[in-house]
Amino acid sequence: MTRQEMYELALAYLQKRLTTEEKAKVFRLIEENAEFFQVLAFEATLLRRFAPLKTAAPAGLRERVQERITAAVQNPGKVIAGQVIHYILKGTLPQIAWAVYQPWQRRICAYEQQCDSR
Amino acid sequence: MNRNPKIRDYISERVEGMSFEEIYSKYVDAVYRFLKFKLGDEHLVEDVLQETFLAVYENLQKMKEVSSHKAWILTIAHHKFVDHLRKKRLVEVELSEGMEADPAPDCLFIHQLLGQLDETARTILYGLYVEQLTCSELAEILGIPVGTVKSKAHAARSILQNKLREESV
Repeated sequence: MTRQEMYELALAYLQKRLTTEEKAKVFRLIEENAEFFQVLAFEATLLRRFAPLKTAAPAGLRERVQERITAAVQNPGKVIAGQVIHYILKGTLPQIAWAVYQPWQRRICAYEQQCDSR
Repeated sequence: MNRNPKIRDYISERVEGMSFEEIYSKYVDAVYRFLKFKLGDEHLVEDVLQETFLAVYENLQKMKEVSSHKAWILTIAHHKFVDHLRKKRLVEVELSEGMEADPAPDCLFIHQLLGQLDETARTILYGLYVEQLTCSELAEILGIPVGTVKSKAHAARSILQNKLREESV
């Protein structure tokens, strides 16, 4: 068994993606193969280190994007016009003005969508 | 009752037993995380997330033909990310700076570790350890051979192993 195969098997075991037979193979390797045990420990460390990246999308963002998709399906012309204006302003406004304009525009869009859905 | 046929389809169309809304709810977190990891900036993430799911909606029928829904949706997200980079003409250096600009404190260490790797290797490790994707799924998302994914993952692990060893000394 190559070291790369050991990594793949260890990761699949830690992510609970193995069949009963494959799990038995892992248990056997843990007992008999010191190198596999090291690989398993390393994979567990990496999984722990990566865990904070597994975040959920903020609820406000989820809803906003979903509302905008619904609006895009409902009225594609309005969305295209909005995108054209968006790119023109982004290209022409100074960076500092853009930083103020963008959150303001999002609030206006959210308000319009709320009004539309009422 | 909604009279607009597009909206009726939007609400009622079901692919693989799921409505678009159910698909959105199921995969929005994975796509958000992926784009947050790649782009960093929350506003950009929101825009590219919207573009991704609009493309998913427009290609909903193709979902029947794919083996992994998650990999298919993340492939679209990756294409949208690349399109975004082309539009903005961002260079990799700027991307890395964006990624590390404001990571949450508990993500700081992993961002520093991943900073040692190239963009593809970072995405491969992210896919393996955060999204639990297989090497074949990652190959599909990145548009590279499975063998390249495996060799890059192996090389990246070696670099991280050395870094972690240095850290513990």
